[in-house]
Amino acid sequence: MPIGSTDLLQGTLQILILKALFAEAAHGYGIARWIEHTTADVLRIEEGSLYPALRRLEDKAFVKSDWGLSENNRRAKFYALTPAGRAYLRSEAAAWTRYSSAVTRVLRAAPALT
Amino acid sequence: MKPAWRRYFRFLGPNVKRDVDEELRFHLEARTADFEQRGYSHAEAERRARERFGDADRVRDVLEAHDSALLHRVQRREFMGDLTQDIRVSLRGLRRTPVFTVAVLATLALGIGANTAVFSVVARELLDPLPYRASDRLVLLYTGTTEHPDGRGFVSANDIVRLQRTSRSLTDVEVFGFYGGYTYVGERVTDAWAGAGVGPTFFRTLGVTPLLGRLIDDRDLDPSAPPAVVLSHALWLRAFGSDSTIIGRTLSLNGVWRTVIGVTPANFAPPARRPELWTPLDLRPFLASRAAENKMFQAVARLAPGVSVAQAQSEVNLMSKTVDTQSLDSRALRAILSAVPIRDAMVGGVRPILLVVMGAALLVLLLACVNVAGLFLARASARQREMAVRAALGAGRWRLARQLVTETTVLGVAGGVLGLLFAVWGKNALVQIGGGVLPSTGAPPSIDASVLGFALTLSLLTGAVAGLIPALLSARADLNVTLGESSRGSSGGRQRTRIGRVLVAGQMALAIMLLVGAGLLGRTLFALQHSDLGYRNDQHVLTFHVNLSSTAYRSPAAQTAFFTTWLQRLRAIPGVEQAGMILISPWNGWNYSTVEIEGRPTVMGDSSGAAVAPVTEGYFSSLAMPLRSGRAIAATDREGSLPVAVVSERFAHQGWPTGSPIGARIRIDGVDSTWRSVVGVVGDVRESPSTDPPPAVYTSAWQHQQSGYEVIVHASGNAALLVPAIQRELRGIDPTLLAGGPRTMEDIFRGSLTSQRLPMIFTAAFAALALILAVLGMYGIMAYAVTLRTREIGIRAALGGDRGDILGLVVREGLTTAVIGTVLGAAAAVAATRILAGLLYGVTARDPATFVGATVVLLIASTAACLVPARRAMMINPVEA
Repeated sequence: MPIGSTDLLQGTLQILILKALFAEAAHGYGIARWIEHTTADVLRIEEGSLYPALRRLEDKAFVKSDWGLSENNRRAKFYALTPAGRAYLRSEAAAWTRYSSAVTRVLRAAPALT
Repeated sequence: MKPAWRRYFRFLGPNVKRDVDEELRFHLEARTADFEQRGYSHAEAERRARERFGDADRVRDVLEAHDSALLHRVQRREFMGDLTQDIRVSLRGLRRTPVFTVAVLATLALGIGANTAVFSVVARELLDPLPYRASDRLVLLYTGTTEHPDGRGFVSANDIVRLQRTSRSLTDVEVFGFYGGYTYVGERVTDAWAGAGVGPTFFRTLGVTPLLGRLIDDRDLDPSAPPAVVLSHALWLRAFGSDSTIIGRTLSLNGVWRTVIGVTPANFAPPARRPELWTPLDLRPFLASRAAENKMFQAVARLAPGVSVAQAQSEVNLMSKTVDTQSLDSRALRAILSAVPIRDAMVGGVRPILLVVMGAALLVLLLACVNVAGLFLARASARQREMAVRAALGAGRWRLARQLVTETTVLGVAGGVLGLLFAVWGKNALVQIGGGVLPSTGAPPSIDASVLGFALTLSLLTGAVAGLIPALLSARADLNVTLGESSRGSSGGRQRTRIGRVLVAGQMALAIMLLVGAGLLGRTLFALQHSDLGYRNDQHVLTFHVNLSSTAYRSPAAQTAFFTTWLQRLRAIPGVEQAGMILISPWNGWNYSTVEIEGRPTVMGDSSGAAVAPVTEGYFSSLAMPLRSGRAIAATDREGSLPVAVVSERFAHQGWPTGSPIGARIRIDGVDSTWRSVVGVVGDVRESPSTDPPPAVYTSAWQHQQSGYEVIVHASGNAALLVPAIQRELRGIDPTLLAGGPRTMEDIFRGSLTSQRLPMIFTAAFAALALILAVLGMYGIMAYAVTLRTREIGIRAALGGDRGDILGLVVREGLTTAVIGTVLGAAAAVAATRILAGLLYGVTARDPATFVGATVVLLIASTAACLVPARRAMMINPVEA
C-alpha cells in the first residue's frame, strides 16, 4: 500500500530529490520516476509538489537548473546537484539514518507489538 | 548545461510564463505517454497523469511567482554591476583629462547653480504658502476705476465700514496702512522709524502669533487705554538688541509715550509695505470727518466660507455701484471696489520678473548642455579607437552609449554639487538686488529639500541630455571604419565636425536669444533712467521728513513759528541753494481728494480725485518744477491772507480746456470747506515713468498747518553730504528733533527701478555667460576642424595656395555656422520676447536696433573665436602636415 504524499514530510521530500539527482542530472519527471522505481511505488508522492520543492532547493543553491534536451529530443529543464547540495545530502542522510534506527529500536523494544 | 540555450536566454530574455508552462507540460505529457505504454487509452492516461500530478494550476502559480521574483533580482544585480563598472570607467577617463573635466564641471556648475539660485527664490516667492493663516482665503481690497477696473488704489474709511456692515461674501474686513514716520527720542539716541496703523483684528485675521507679548486688538481702541505700539522683529533686533524685557516699556514716539505691547515674529511680512512698528488705528474719527471718503487706507478681508473670489468680487462690485446711485454727488461714480487674492496682490508684480529671470537661467543651462555635448563629441574623436576596440570586443552600441551617458551624468551630478555652492552665493545676490520688490521678508531663501531636489533633478537631466546628444549622433558614425584607418580625415571625423557645427549653431541661437533679452531690458532701464518725471531727481536733491513730536508744538501757531525758523536756518546752511516742504511727496504716495470748482456741478479729477498736497514756498523751485503761468506758493500765503492754490497743467487742462484757471476758486473736499483761489499753474509730476501724471492741486502749507513734512533741499553739490549739517541745525532749534530717512532723489529713483533692474542684471549676466560659452564652443569645433584638415591644408600650402585664402576658408566656415545659428535664434527670439513685453518701457519687443546689435556682437565674437584656429591653419608647415 503506497503511503500518501501528504504524509511525506517536507524535509523528506527534499532528501528524496537530492538522492534522485545524486547519480546524474534529471528533469522533474525523471526524478518522479526514479523515486517511483526505487521505492517500488511505496512512497507515492504527489508529483506536482516536486517542483516547488525543487525551487526551494535551487534557492538554497543545493541544485542548479538548465534547459536541455530530453531522451526523446524535447526541450526540458534539467536539475543537477551542486557540491553544496552533495554535502548537504550526506549530512542529512547520516542524520536520517540515526533517526530511523533510533525509531526502529524503540519500536522493537519489549514488549513486542504483535 | 547546453550552451545553445544559454545564448537563447541572454538574447531574447527569459519568458517566465512560457518556461514554467513548458516544464509542467513536459512532465504531464511524459507521464501520459508512460500510462499509454502500460495499455491505458489516451484519455484515461491523461486523466491518471493529472491525478498523480495534483493541483497543476496551483503549482504553476507558485512557480511563476517564484521565477519572476528571481528574474528581477538577477536583472537588478546585473544592472548595478554594469553601473558600477561604468562609473569606474568614467572616473578613470575623467582623471586622465583634467582640463576637459574642469571645463565641463565649471560649465555645468554655472548652469545648474544659476538655475538653483533662481529657483530657490521663485519657490519661496511664488510657490511657498504665504505666512498667514489660510492665506488662500485672504483678499486685499482696492479701488479701481471704470476705465481701469484692475487699478490698485487705496480705499476709504467709508468703504471699509460699509463692507464690514453689509458684505455677505467677506468677513473680517480690516483696515491697515496709514503709513507714517515716527521719531523716536530715547535716552541716548534719536531715531526715525517707519510705522503703520492697523485695525484691531488685523493680526488675528492674518493669524500672526506674537514672538513676545501680545499684538494689537480691541483693547487698544479703548480711549482710556494707554497708547500702544508693536515692534517688528527687525526693529527689536536693531534698536533694542533683542531685549526680552522690552514688553511694558514706554517709548517716546512723535511726542507720544507708547507702551510696547508685543513683538512680531521674524518671518512675519505684512501684505504691502514693511513698516518697523505698528500702532492701533481707529477708523471712527475718520468716519465723522470730511476725510471719510478719502481713499487713504488699505484693507484686508477673508472670504466667507464657501464663497469664491469671483463671487466676492461681484458682490463688492455691486456694492460700489449701489453706493454710487444712492449718493447724490456723482464724484464716486467712476470708482469701483475690487477684491484681489492676497497672493496675486503681493506677487502679481514680481511674478513676470522672476519668470523672465528663471527663463533666462534655463536658456543658459540648455546652452551649457549643448556646449558639454559638443565637448564630449570632440573628445569622442580622441577616444574613437578605444570605442571602436570595445565595440569590436563585443560591447553593444547601447552599452557604449550607456557608458557615455554615465560619464556625463557623473559630471552632471558633480557639477550640480559645485553648482549648489554657486547657488548659495547667487540667491543672496538675487535677494540683495531684488529685495525691494520681493514680497517676503527679504532674508535670502534657504536651500531646503525642494531646492535640493530641484538641483538633483536638474543635474541628472543635464547629464543625461549632454550625454545622449553625442551618443545618439555618433551612433551613426560607422565604428568599423575607424579601426581600419587613422582617424585623421576619416569619414567619422568629418561627420563629427558636421554634428559639432550643428551644436555650435544651436549655442549661437540660444546666445542670441539671451543677448536680445538683455538688450531689450537694458534699453528699458536706460529709457526709464532718462525719462522725465517732471521734477529733478539727481543727487543734488535731498529729501527727509521732520515731525514735531513734543507737546510744545500742539498749536498751529507754534508749528508755523517752528517751520518758519527752520526753513530760514536750513536755507542759510552753506551749500543749500533752495529748500521747501510738502506734506506727502509724490514718490511716497500722493494723498487724493475730490475737488470742486466753484459754480460747476461736477467734481474734478479721476475716480480717486486729484492729488492734493500742502507745500511751502521753495518746493517747486527745489525740484525744478516749471511754472507755466501765474505764480508759485509764496511765503506770504499765510493764515489770514487770501487762501490760494496752485494747480498742475493736467488739472488746468481738465478743468479749463480752453481758458485759464487763474482767478477761479476751488474747494478740496477731504481737507476743509475753504474756497481757494487758483494763483498759478505748474508742470505735471509722474509717480513713476510708466504712469500718467495725476491732476494735482497744491495748497499753501502755511494756511493749513500740519505737524510734520517732507523737506526738499536743493544743494549745489552732492546733497547727501549736507545731512550732518542739517541734523546739527535741526538739533540747534530743538534737540529732540531728527531729520528722518534722508535720501537723495537719485537714490529714491534708483530704488524705484528695482523691478526693472533685477531682470536686466540677471538677463545680462546670463547673456554674458551664454556669449562666453557659445564662443568657446565655436573655438573648440573650429580648432578640431583645423586639426582634422591639417593634411589637406598642408597640401594646399605646398601647392602655393595663398595663406590668406586658408585663413578666409576657416573663418568663412565658422561664420556660416554662426550666421545660421543667429538667424534661427533671432527668429526664436521674436517669438520669445513677447513674454518680455510687459516689462518693457520705451522700446518694443521687436526693437530692430536691439536685434541688430545683438547679432553684431555675437558675430564679432564668433569671428574672433574662428581667428585663433584659422591663424594656426595658416601657419601649418606643409613639411610637417
